[in-house]
Amino acid sequence: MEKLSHFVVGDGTKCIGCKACEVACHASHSVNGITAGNIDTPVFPKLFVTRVEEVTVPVQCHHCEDAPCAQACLEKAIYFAGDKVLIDTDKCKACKDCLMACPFGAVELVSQFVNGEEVIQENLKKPRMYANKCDLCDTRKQGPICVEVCPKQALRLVDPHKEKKEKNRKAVATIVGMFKK
Amino acid sequence: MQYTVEIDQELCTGCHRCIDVCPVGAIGGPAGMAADINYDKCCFCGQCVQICSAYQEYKSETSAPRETKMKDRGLLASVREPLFAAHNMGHAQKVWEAINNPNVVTMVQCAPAVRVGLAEDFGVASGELVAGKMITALRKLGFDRVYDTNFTADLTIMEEGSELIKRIQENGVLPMFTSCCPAWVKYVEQEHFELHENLSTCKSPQQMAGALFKTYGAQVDKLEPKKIVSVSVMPCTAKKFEASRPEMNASGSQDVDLVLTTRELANLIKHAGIDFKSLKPSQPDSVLGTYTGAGHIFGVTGGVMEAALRTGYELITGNPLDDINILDVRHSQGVKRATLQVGDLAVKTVVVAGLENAAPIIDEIKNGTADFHFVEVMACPQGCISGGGQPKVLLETERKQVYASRMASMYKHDEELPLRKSHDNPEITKVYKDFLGKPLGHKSHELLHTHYCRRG
Repeated sequence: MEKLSHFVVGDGTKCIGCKACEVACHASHSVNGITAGNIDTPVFPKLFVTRVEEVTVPVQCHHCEDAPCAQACLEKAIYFAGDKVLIDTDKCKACKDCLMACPFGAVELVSQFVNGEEVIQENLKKPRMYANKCDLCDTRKQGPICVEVCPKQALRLVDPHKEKKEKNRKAVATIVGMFKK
Repeated sequence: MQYTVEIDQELCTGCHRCIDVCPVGAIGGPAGMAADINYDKCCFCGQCVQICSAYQEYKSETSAPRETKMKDRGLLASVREPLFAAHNMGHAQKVWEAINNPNVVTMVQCAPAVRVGLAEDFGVASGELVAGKMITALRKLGFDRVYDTNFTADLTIMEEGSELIKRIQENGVLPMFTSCCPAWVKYVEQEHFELHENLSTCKSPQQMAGALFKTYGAQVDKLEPKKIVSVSVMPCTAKKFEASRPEMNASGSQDVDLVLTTRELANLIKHAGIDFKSLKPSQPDSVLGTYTGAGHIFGVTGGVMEAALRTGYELITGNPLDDINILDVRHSQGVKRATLQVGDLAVKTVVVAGLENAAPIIDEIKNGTADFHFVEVMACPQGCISGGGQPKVLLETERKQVYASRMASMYKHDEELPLRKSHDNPEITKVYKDFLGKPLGHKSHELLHTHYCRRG
């Protein structure tokens, strides 16, 4: 069986909505420096802390096995690299099909910045945009930075296989408990 | 009164990490709702500013656009970093106007900790010492005189060390508290006013410098004091409050007119288009710019204590310390006690790092069990290197290492300096000879000492 993709999931009972994950995500992908003074573009995180009533939780890409975003992309800009769904931003035409296809709203269109300046398309007089989403910190050895920085440990990297096995064990443990009664 | 720290109710997500980090319980709010500051309790330390990660999203539909918020916060229009909910009021725009005003003379001073933080906002690794580049940048910005708070840190030691000795010898109020941290001073004034006589009457180095700029500095440079705009660059948000205190006008007008944080100085340098990394180092102007290692270590927890002991020991015994590095007062993780034998006297010291750790010390004094002579309190967790105005560390997971680097850099600079005791600073000798007279003398009392007022 194909190895299922990992993905990061937030726990709404722990998340406090501080956005430390969003800031860290942007810092890790787009900032050369350790302090806020090095941020020279708008913050474009690849996960989105979302509030519904009293619950906050970050929403991000599940790296779906059938990747509807990739299926929808006519430019073939979205692809699998190992078990991660990634976006080739150079190929992306910002058509928004991936945004529409994603069931989580995990894809956002953002403006391209080079050396702190927004790239404006000459003919259109509009910023050049591209699709942006969680890449599980593809080039970071330690894995997703959002998991690491969350002050409440509200984020975790899910291994679907392990998750399933754990649930199997819990189900059996419940049955054992029932018999013990 | 000038509220120097604010929480933007519209940007705050109600995570309440600022409530957790506030050392004086000044921030509150219902769960999940925007936090609010009680200014009767707030000591303006700015730790909330450092920890806040709730930012204004790109093109978010807030009632005020980014440009309006920036103006309200006193930020320069060129600032690109995100706007966070917890922030301090800025004065870079006013400083920019002053340095571009041909009718005024601008004098600037920089606190010790600024030079180990500033470069971080230019993409440099944490803790890199940029004392010389900082001076060059200030000159390029157009400041007419570039002096140094480190000089008045040395001066503070002369005054405060003399005051401590006097209190011990004449059975004055003990223990004596350091008074260079404005957040700590405000806290004593509003929560424990009955202990205000324990506070040293010495002004902070910032305010001593401010008073000297417009008196001695004006005299040396043959300037009209009213033409001087006195600017300080501090790692601290509470220094803005301190400078605005009405009694801080020994020179005849407000001694320090404008206070920038380290972050604001970085913004100003970028605004002027100065390539900071490629600057050649230079030296501050004499007479108010020469400093020793003792003045420099004011920027770390235990630094004021160590600097005072280096001088106090020698003043009392007439002999230098065997080892000038007084490790027993360094690296406080909350409360650190030490005893130093000074001649016949065992001087007992306490170093408090982080205002939340002051409570047990205050209790001991109040219940009569305190047996110590001198207490240093810094509101911020590792002293000024971790101040609310320092470059804002993006990842909480890196904060500890960043502070450790800044601290190591401070001590390294101290060790590299040719003079490491405040009383060895030749410019200090000169300022007493030419202008002040002697420590605790009439002129010193007039310009360098202050009084406290009940708050709250």
